[in-house]
Amino acid sequence: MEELPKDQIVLLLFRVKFGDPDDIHAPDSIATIGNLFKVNNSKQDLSRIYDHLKALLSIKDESYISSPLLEVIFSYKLISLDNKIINKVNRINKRLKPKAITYKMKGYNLPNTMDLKLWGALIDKLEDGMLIRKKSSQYTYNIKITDNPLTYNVTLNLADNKEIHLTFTDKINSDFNNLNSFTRYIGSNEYYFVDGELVLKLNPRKISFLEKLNLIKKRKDKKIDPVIDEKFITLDIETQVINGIIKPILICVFDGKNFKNFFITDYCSTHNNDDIGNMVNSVLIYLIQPKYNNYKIYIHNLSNFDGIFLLKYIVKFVYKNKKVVVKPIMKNRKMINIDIIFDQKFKISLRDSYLILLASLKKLAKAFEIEDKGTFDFNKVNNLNKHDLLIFKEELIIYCNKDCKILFFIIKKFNKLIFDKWTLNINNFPTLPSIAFGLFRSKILSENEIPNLTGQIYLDIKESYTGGSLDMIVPQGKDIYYYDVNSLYPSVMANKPMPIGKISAFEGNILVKKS
Amino acid sequence: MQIHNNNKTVSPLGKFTGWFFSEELKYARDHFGYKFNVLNGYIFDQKIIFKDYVNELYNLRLTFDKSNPMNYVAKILMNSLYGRFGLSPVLPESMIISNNELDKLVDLGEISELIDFDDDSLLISF
Repeated sequence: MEELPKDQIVLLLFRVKFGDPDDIHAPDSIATIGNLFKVNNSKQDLSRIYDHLKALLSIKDESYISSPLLEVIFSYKLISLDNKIINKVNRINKRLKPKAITYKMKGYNLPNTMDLKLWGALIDKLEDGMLIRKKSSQYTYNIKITDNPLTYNVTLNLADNKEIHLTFTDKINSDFNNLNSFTRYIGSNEYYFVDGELVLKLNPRKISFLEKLNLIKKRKDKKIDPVIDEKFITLDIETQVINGIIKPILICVFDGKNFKNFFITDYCSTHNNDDIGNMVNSVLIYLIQPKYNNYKIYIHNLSNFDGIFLLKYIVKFVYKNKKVVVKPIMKNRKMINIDIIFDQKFKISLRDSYLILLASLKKLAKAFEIEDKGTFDFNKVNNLNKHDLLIFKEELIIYCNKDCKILFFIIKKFNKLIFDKWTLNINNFPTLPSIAFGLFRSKILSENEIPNLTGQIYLDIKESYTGGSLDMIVPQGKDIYYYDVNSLYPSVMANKPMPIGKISAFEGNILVKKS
Repeated sequence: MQIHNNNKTVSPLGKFTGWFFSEELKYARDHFGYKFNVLNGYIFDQKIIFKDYVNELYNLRLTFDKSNPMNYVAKILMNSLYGRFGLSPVLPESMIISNNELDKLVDLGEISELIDFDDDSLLISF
């Protein structure tokens, strides 16, 4: 750090790796903690890193205490400071400014009572109301009065003119039994007065509603029922560790019928030293066959190691003298979907099957009643050179093919279960919550019921959403009772009302409103 | 009552301001002696909307033995819906850019992910 030139800064990203003590087969999970951190070479910044990391770790340590923290991973990048400015990333600004309560409404000073004597001088009594000259102004209130409850429908005109400048309705609040407690409706806004004081303003917000998912497509007025989509392939990667660095040595692909294996020793070239690159290129060339167009390539636990490593080579891949177009969708370091487009017309998409079926292959094989996963002791191949690695080629291929096959039939079975029951295809949903959401939207949701929260409304409401209600401060004890609630979350979901429908923003004490 | 404070959840003593769910506030007032003034907020209608979803999947779990994959499928679907509604409406955007392009991004603090492909390109999310 101290040798860093003054005009350079380092971008740092901290990650932590957790293990699962109950399941040694479970993939390690990696979480990114905090956002990108910028430092220069000053002492001050060095101590900032330390404080920053300490703070981040103390937070995460509490929430992930059940998983042992295996490693802290630093990702960094040096950049020069010249050449600044330009695109600012869009972002919603957080702000909250409670506005001062005012009796000025829509630009007019309006009375805070339904006592008409205080509105101004009486000009004329009408059959169903009154004409009143507004105090110290040229305006006239034209008031139509109805009873039960006492209601004024008011228009505001200029004295010598029929043009209406403002329309509003005042309705008495029967909870208080005085003329100074009422509700004023102007346009879609509502104003609540209690004893002459404006205590609440309601302002309906323009919102959109969550739309139903229609699974039946229409083409030329003909309804097309959904069909099961089994256009997918599974891929698995085996690795060895050489001097602490993980290197891929075998990639297997299975399309339900045929296996294709790519073993590292077959890709040593006299043209370059990049045997891994050559191997991945061969995999890509194999996958871009027209018959695999629009296929999804499922890789279990793509998000951890395999994905980053694959992406690195995919972005470099040249097909017909053109680079492929890669469109990644990532969230919290999870690879949700990676579209790879060749020659502007062929597309394959990489998916992480772990995001759909959140368990290790071994557990899944058991749950889906597929044959048991094989075993291979990878210590045997660590630190082996190419020549010695060849001894294990056949054994590795058998093991890797088995994993590919197991994953393929797990996904096939899962997809069939989901399709037969709800006509949903998992190829359309890259994560488990998105399948759940798809099921809810297609089969359960009513129109115009759940509002989409966006912008400031989302930010405000999210502020009220906290975790950490329960904490285990002392992780040991004697005579401890253990309680488990069967489906706690779902039972609350099923039996408690949720906020729905149109949204109104309010200012003031909402508790004065009885209903 | 809890508020967010430097990425932590805290339950402060004394006087504080924040955003809360009305029913939690009322509970805190009636059971724990909290006092509050309402400044502003949002109101919604209310309705039970997840009953059919949960019942369908729960009954499915009861129909199939624990060893049956459908039991597992039903369980994970039942537990995965609620969180989806807390998803940020702004999807993080990822792209693969060159080192030069990274220098042009001013607001680096917004970048939540950076993967260096050790040649000239890297993947960023923001």
